[in-house]
Amino acid sequence: MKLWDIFAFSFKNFTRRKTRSFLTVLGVVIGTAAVVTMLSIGVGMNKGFEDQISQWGNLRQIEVYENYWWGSDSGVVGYLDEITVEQIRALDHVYGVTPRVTYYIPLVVGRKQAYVSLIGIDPAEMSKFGYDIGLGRLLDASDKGENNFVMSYVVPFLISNPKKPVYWYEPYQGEPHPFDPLLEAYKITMDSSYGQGYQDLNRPKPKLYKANCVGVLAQKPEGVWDDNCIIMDVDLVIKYWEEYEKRQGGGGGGDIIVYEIGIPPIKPSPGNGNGDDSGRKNVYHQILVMVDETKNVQDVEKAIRDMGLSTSSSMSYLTEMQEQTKFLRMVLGAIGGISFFVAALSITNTMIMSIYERTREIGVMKVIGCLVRDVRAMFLVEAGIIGIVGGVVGVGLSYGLSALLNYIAVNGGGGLFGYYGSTVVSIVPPWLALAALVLAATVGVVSGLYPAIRATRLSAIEALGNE
Amino acid sequence: MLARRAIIETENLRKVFRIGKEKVVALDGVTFSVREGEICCLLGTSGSGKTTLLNILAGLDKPTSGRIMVCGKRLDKMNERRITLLRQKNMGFVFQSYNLLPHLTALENVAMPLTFRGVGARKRKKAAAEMLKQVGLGERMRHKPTQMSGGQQQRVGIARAFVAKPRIVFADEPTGNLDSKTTLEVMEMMVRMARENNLTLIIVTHDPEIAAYADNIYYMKDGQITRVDKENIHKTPEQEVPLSPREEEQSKEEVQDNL
Repeated sequence: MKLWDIFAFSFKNFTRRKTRSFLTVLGVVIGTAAVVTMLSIGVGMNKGFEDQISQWGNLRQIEVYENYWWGSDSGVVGYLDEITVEQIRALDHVYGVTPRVTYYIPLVVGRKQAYVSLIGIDPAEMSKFGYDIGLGRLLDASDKGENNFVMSYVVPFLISNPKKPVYWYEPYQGEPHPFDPLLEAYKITMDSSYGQGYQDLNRPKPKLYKANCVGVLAQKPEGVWDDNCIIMDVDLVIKYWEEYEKRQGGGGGGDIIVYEIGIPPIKPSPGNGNGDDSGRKNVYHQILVMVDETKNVQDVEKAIRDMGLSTSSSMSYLTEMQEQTKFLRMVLGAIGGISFFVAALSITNTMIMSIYERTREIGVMKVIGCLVRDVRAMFLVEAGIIGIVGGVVGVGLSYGLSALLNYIAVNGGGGLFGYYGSTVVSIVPPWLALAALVLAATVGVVSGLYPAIRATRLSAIEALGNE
Repeated sequence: MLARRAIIETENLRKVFRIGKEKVVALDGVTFSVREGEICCLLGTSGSGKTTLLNILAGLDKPTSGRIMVCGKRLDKMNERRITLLRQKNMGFVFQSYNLLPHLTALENVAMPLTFRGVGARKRKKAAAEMLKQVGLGERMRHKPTQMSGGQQQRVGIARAFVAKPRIVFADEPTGNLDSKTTLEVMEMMVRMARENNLTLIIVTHDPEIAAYADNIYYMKDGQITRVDKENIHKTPEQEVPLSPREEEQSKEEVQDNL
C-alpha cells in the first residue's frame, strides 16, 4: 500500500465518527493547552526574575570584592590590584574586565554644584560593559590619564546652588537638559565638604581639578533608577584621591560612601596581612568582570573565588531564585502532565472502541489482501492524526490563554499573579510550542500502539464470522 | 479441459477444531483438485465443512494436516505475509453479506484491492470505473453501500472481486441474501465474467440451483468430499439434497447441538 493511501484511509476513518473524534481531540487539546499554559507560567516567572534582576545590573556582569572572611577554602588571599585584573583577564570566557573605585564628591559648575559618584574605571574597557551612550561618546583607550569623563543623564538636573541643593530629581522621558552638558566647563574636588559654606580652617583648602565631559549616557527607561555619577579614568581618580589624602595629612579617607545594596563598605586596605604577597595591597574598591555568555557566569565566578576574592553577580541571584521556584514550576508542569496522560488514555480508549466496531472491516481488508503492516500503519496514523490535530489546536488555545492571563495581570489582577512587580505572567516561547506539538503527536502514536497491534491480531475468519 | 493444469490441489486435508475439551473434525481427509478456468461448486449443509475448506483454500486458515497447493505454491508451508501477498495477486472474494466498507463509495470499494497492491490512484480509479460499468453500475459509482439495494451491493462486491484480474475467485454463498430474480442476475454475471477472463471460480453454497452453474460439483458432508455428476445433482449420495429452508434450520440446530 502506498503511504499516501494509508494516510487517506486513516483520515477518512478519523472524519467518519465526527462526535467521537471531536471529543477525543478535545481531550488532547485540553491536555496540550494545560501543559503549555502551566509551563508558560513557569517561563514567565523566570522571565520576571530575569527582568527584575537585569534592572539591578547586567546578567553577564560579576563584581569582585576583597574577601572579608578568611580567604577562600584553599587559604589563598586575593588582592584587588593590577595583577589580579590581568589574572582575571586571562580566564576563559572573560569578555571584559576593569578595576573600579567610587567616591562621593561634588561636581562643580561655576558657583553651582551637584553631589555625584565619581567612578574610576579602565576607559579602554568601557565599551564592553553595556553602557548606552546618549550624547557624545564613551571613554576609550585614548582617555587614559586624561581628565575626560562621561556622566549619567540625570546629573545636569542636579547641578544647583549649594544653598538650595537638589539631591534628587527624576526627569520625565526625553526631558531636555537645562544646558548642553558637553559644552559646560566642570571642576571636581575630592573634598566632600566643598561648597558647604563652612570651612575647617585646620584643613587645607579643597583643590579643584578641571574636568571635561565627553559623553552623556542615555536616559534610563521609566521607573528604572538612574545613578547620578560621572565616570573617568581609574588611575586619575586614584591619583586625585592620594593627593587629597596627602593634603589631609594621610589620616583621613573617611569620605567614601558606597551605596550598593548588600555590599559591606569598602575602602582600599593593605591586604590581609598574610605576608607572602610582599608589597601587594588592595588598590581598587572592586573589579568588574563581563563574561561572554550568561551560562558561563558561574564558572568564571568560581574561578575568581578560587583566587581568594569574593564575588557577586545578578546571575547568581537569578539562579538562586530560579532554584527556589523550581519545585513550584515542577508542580505546574505535573498538573499539565496529568491532563495530557488522561488525553492519552482517551485516545487509546477511542481506538480500541473503533477496532471493536470495525472488526469486520479489518477482517475484510485482510482477506482482500491488505498486509498486516498496512493495517497497523492505518491505526497508528489515525491515532497520530488525533494527536497532531489536538496538539495544533491546543497550542493555539494556549497562546490565547497566555494572552488572557497577561491581560488579567495587567488589568487589576496583577496582585494575584505578579512576581516582583512583573506584569508578564505567561510566556509561550517557540520551543515550548514546538515541543508540545511533538509531544502531542508522539503521545497520539504511542496511545495507538496497543490498539494497532490488537487490530493486526484479529483473525480474518472470526471477523467475517460474526454476521 | 483435461489438458489444463490444476490450480488448486489438496491431499488428505484434515482440520480439527478444539472447542473446550471436545474435538470437532471439520475436514476429514479432503483430496480434490480444481483446474484453471473451471467453475467449481462446493455444495453442503452448514456444518459440513465447506466454509472451513474455503478458508483453507484461500489461505485464511491452516489445515491440521495434509498438503495444499494453490497457484503452484505450498500454502500450508507459507507465512502469513507471503499468503497475504499471494491472495492480493491471485484471489478475489465475493461474500454473502457483501462486506463493502460503508464509508467508501462504490468506486472506492471496488478500487480497494488495487489500493492494497499499491496501484496509483488514477490507474485504479480507471480500472474500478470500467469494472462497475461491466456490472451495470456505471451510474452509481459515487453512491455509498447504504444507498444501494442488496443486488446492487453484491454487484459492487463482484466488481471488487474481479477488478484486480485474479486467477481464482471465491464466492461464499454469494446469493444467500438475495431474492430469486436477483440471484439469477448475479450468478449469470459471475459465471460470464469468469468465463470471459478464463479464471477459476469456486462457489460455496447449500443451494443445488446455484450448483447447476458449475462445471464440477463436490458434495460435502461431515468433513468429507464427494464428486457429484451434474445430472445426478438431485440424487446425491445422501439423497434429497435440496433441503427445504425448514430442514436447513433443523440441520443448523443439530450442528449446534453437536457442538
